[in-house]
Amino acid sequence: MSIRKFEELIPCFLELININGAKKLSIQEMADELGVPLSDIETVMSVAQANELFTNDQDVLKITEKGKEALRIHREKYVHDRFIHRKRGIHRFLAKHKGKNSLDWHKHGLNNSNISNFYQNLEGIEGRIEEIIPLTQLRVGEKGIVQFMFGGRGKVQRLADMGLTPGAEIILNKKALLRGPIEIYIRNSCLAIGFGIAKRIFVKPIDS
Amino acid sequence: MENKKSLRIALAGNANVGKSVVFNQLTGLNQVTGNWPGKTVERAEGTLYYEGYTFNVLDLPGIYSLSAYSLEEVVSRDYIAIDRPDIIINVIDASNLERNLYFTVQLLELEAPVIMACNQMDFCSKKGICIDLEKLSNLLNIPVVGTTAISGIGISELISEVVSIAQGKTKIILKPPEYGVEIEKRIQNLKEKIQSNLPDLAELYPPRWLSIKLLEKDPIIVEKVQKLDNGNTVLELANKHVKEIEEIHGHISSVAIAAERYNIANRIAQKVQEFVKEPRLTFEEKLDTLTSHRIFGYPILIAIMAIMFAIVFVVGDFLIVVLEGIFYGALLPNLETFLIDAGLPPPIISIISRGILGGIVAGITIALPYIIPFYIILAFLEDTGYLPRAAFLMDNIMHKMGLHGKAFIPLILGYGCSVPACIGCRIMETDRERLIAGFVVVLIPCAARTVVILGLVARFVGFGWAMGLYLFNLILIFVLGRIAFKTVPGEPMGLIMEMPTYKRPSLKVMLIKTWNRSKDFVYIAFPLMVAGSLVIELLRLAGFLEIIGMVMSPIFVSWLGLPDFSAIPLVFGILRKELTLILLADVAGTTNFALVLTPVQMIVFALVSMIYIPCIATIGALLREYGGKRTAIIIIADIALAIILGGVAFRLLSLFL
Repeated sequence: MSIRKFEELIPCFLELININGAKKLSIQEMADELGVPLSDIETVMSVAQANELFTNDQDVLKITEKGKEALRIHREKYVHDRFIHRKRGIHRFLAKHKGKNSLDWHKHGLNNSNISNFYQNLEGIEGRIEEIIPLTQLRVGEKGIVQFMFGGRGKVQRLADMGLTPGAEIILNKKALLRGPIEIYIRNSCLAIGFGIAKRIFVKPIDS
Repeated sequence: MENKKSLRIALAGNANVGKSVVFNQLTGLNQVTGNWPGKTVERAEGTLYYEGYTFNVLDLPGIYSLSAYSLEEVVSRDYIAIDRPDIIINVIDASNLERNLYFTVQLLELEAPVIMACNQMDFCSKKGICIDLEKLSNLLNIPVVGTTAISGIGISELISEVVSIAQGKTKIILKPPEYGVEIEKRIQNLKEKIQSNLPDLAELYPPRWLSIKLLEKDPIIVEKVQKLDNGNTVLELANKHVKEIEEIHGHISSVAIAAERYNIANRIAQKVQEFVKEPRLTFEEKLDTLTSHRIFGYPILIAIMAIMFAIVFVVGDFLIVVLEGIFYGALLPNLETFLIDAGLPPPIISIISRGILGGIVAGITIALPYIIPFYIILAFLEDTGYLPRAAFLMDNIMHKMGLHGKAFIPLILGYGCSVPACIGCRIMETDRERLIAGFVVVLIPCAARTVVILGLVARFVGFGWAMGLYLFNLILIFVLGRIAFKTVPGEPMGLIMEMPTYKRPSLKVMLIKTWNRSKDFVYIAFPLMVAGSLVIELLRLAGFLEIIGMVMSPIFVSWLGLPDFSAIPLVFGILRKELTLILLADVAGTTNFALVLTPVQMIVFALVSMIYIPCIATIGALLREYGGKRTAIIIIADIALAIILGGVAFRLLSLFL
């Protein structure tokens, strides 16, 4: 197993423990869930346990404070690199090979006062971060549950007032051409939302 | 409530629920209605006299919340909390209970005396929803009346409910719904603190509402509290509670509270509404799918616009021929012989027939035939609910101008009249967007300018050339909008808009609306037309016309290539844009413009009057909305642009025509 893959697998594994809480999860189940061979899971588990990222109390896996911190960093980086500041072309190449990739939240409308709220949002996600997508990536006709909105207080409040509160169920009705607005069905009525706003609303798709 | 004879009533509720329709039904006035969110941008007031009572009714703009992030919301909540109207009629859309109840809950939090008008009951049953009004009334502790305002159903019950409150027969119990225990506990805690520490503020606003706002970190209320002596102790407690709420819910406190409020609304809605049958909206849904389709939507949009102008042109042209036959063929010559027979001196006859009557006749024969069909079609587009679809489709393109889709609505309204379009720019959320939208909206050829374009270019040069002018205008607007977007500092906003369901428009409502708009046009435009014709006739008699023509000739003759007499109509066009054409008929002495102007001159004339300064009424609207400096910039930019483009067009078109 390469080091890169290994680094990626640890947070995925932590995500898995995190959502399942005190539920017993066999190694086989975890391997199936993550789509990796059994041996990989075993290696990851031993390394993570050595680093005190989780505790194993009679096969009940529990995430530690240190593990939570690692999880948060992973989630933050995941959201940033994948959805907020997606690097393309040469920038992506540079970011990968320069190694350190700084999280420039201030560029995206977050300041010191609301970054803690953002961390709270990340903690409050129901499920694995890998399941979360921006509203714009939902397919037409698909259902999703709102997890959090990313942005300043005023923008988030406006969306919440229109019914886009965490936990609300939405159906994507329509997508306009290119990076056009989308139309969603929420709380019994239809809302049109511009692309720029929709891409900062994060949802967890669910099977309808 | 003591038995008062004069009461203040405010209509409040979400956008596009029918507040203005209820308002019109109550007061007999004609506030603009339509099927798109954001029509009512200005507060409208009216009076209702009933059984010896005087009710002053106020129509508030439609809002979804009472937060501090938009001007309308702040104005509305201050009106409700500080001015304290005697009764608030909360108009809600019965088919969309949950979202509407979210607002109702906030009204109840403000401890306002609320009556609910559960509107659009007909549409609700069409959607297959049955609502238990009595249960709703019990759950909210307020009187609830079911209405279908558009056909006047339930309005008398609403009035008698208001009267029974005025007489003190019905008591309104001020009991806001409670939140979940975690939040409610902290609200009560904070409320006690406010009552003991800030008695003055608690007098002005309800203390429970203040605590909620402090927990939401409402910037305006926080600032108010901060300024007070004991404010900081209250804020400390509030901030402590905010932290706790955020830890429990994992989201910022205002979102957590919004979610709780929606929970309350949802719980009530679930209890009172029942889905009795499948909705019968297949046609409306198909229409919606087609008109806002990601590909087919665009050709449909273009086709609708083209058909609109084609109908206006065909109908208008037909009416002009008929009316000209009546007036110029029969009425005017007879009148002139009658005046000559009466023995009046020739100058007076010329003043009466060419000055006074000439203005009126030109207005009737040239302007009204285009304007009335135009208003009917505009009313149709407004009432069906097509405008929000157009906004949805155009969002992408409007973003290139730093605006979002909603700005397309005032843009289309601009084809009717620049004044409401200019005021309609208030549906944009920020000052910056209002400015950009206002700047481009006045460039849209309004019905008056359509009169010039269709009456001159389409009739005498060709319909295709007229369409070309409209197309050129759109390109110009796009380019100028983009320049404005790059020069005006600020960050662009995104689109959030409720999409109304398509509704079958009522012919009666459409005709009434057209009638009112045409009436306004006649009242404002006709005196100006008569005065303008009169002034020109007097100038002509005094021999000043040639002098004015000569003074203006460097611009008009040398640069724009127009005949010297065309200077006067264009200058007078500041009063009303269609005056340019009517006065052109005056100075040329004929309405058959082909005799006096070449095709190129007609196109240039129409182009210049299309772009240069918006009329006086629009300048007034601009002044009110944007202030003197910005208005001056817009005016100067428009004049310069008109002259430059006119000259260029003259030289280019001379090569082809």
